[in-house]
Amino acid sequence: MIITAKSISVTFYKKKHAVKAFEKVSISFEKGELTLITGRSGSGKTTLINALAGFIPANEGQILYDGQDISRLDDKALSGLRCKSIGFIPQGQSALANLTVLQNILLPSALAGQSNIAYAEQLLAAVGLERLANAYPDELSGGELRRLAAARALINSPSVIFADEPTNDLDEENSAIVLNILKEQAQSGAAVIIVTHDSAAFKYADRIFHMDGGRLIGNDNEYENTLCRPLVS
Amino acid sequence: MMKKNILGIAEFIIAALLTVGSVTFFKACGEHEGKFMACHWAQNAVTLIGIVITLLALLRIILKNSGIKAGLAIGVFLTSVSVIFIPNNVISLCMMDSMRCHTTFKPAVIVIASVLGALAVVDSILGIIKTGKSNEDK
Amino acid sequence: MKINSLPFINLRRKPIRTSALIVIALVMSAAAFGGQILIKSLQRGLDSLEQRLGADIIVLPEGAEKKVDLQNLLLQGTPGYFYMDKSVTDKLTGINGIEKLSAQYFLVSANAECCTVQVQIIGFDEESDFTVKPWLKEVYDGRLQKNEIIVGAGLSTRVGHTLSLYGVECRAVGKLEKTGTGLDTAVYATNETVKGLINASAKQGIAVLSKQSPENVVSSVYIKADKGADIDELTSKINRALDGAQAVRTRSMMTDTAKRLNVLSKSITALTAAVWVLAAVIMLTAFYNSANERKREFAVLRTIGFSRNSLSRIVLLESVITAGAGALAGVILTGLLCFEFISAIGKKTAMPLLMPSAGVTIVYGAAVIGIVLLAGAAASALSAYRLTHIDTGKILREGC
Repeated sequence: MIITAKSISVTFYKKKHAVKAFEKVSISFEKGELTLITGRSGSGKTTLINALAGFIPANEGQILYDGQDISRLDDKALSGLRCKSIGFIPQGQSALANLTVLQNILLPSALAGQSNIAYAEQLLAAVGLERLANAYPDELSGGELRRLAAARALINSPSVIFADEPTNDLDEENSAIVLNILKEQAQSGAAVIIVTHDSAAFKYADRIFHMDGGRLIGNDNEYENTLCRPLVS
Repeated sequence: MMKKNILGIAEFIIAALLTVGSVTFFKACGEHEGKFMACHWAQNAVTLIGIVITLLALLRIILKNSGIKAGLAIGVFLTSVSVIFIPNNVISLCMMDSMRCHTTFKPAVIVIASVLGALAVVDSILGIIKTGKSNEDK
Repeated sequence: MKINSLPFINLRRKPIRTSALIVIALVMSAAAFGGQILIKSLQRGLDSLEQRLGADIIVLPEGAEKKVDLQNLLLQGTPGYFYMDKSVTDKLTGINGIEKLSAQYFLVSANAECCTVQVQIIGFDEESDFTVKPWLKEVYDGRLQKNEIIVGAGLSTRVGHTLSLYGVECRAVGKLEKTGTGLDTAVYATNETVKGLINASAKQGIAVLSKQSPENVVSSVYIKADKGADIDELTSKINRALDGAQAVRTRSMMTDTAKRLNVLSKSITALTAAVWVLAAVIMLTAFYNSANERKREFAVLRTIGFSRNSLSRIVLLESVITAGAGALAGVILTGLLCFEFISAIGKKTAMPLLMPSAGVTIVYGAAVIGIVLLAGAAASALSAYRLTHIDTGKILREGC
């Protein structure tokens, strides 16, 4: 799946004051590539991937998934696209407290109308949580929770994976586990987009972009509808 | 500990209420001119079975084995159901519907035994499921 | 794992919140169902008493306490007796506007077999009777013979069995329909049998009648007015014509109870409304709070690919399951309590209570369950809307 953002802008309104999160960003993601977007806190990178995943509507521009404009999809179609084709690892803790580790991982699969227990167990083993399959999230450490979120995002074998600060607060070992899994996904054909300010992630990236003050550095022409040029290639 | 036995404790309290209540606040008609009324024997039967259920529920709380717990819960259920039929069906009460054994004793026994039976049937089902699971684990 | 099991899993993992919501639904349904059943029972009891008496006017001996005795006998089943001269009946036959009249004797048994309790004995005239025989549940053939009796629905004596009254073995040949009134625990016999019992009581040294002979007395006379007659006027006409006796309009005997029915149904309605308002506030607060607490959970579900519809379904199912379980338990428990304790309540409050038929009760129960389900769904609708219209991007950006 190819994702193309054409000159998208997102503006928030805080007490009637317009705050620009980012402006006229054009970027494209190919399958099989791991793309890193870095930048300081508040630079707009989280908002960018939320917009790319369709959680925040873009005020301007178009986001195309294989040429399909997602702003034209209704809630059901967009949700279906997220369920089947997008794996999303949100910032912070995202485990569902009422479900066990295994149930958390199986939930997207159940939503898609299947229950792929064998693959779920394989993923659990890959992130090293197999002995915690029947534990509840409140029994897990921060690193374990992050690995759980990664495994859950992968259960439906999505063609696009968004990860927002997936290694935040993690020690080196846990970081490496999560990044390796994401890298494997890219190598097996998914488009992986990671937002991070963790320099340890750089070596896994095929492309790295930097975001600053709502602008994506590496743009050939920052205010034109052209594709971004990566800093590292 | 408390969580596992919450139903057992509820059964114990209600069974004790049935036993104590049957000789105190919802007892059947009293003596009259030194003679017991017909309903007295129904009251005795309810008190006796009430004691048996109270002891079953107590064992249900104390014993650890989940299979035995489930079995005792089934015992509580069956005896509670049998209590429902004691007043007027198994042992006849006094002749008039307006008498205490009809207006107070019988309704109280039926309501308490029904609630006890409902609790025990839930307890039995949960207990059987749990026993089945722990056997699988072995 | 199935998506439809998600609401159950959520409820099971929040046992205190779930139990609290179930208890609220239980209280709501118990208040509505119990209240309605009580009101209906009193209405039905009152109707059945009026129908059962079948008379427009009752003539009884003079004196306010006699009227109270009759009321106690009818409403509470307190056995009682009083007598007036038989000539009253003859005087009545001369009055215009009376379609039917029938005299009855009242007598109280000293003891009856094992259970030493007093039984109300009512002697009626089979020729003129219009208040007893129409209510026979188990029909007997032909006429009541001497020492044959008909028993009220509240007596355990079965048809074909005997009851010992003043040492006389009386055979039960019929049983009456239940009324929910004091008449349920009475025994009915012919005048001839009653006179025999009065004589038997005298032999046992229990003098029911000291001066008069049972041949010359009656306890009350039941009167049915001509169609279209003014009953109030007829009552005062009878009162003017009689000495040592009073005519009472049947309906006036029941006005007290009818007034209480009015007060009772008003207070039950008010109480039910208060319980419902309180429950509605608690339910709304509970759902509102849970909507606030669960924002992040639902934002995560959105990232997994849950649509707004599927999220609403989760919230609504959770509320329907708790409201349904609570309402069902409430209706069953209240139904059982009402059914079992109705006669105790009737006795304590001196009101004629007759439970509605099983069919009517079930319809009421189903209606109450339906309304509680709707209330639960409505209370959760607001929280469903809030949770499905969360700004997923904003919540995710805010992190934990």
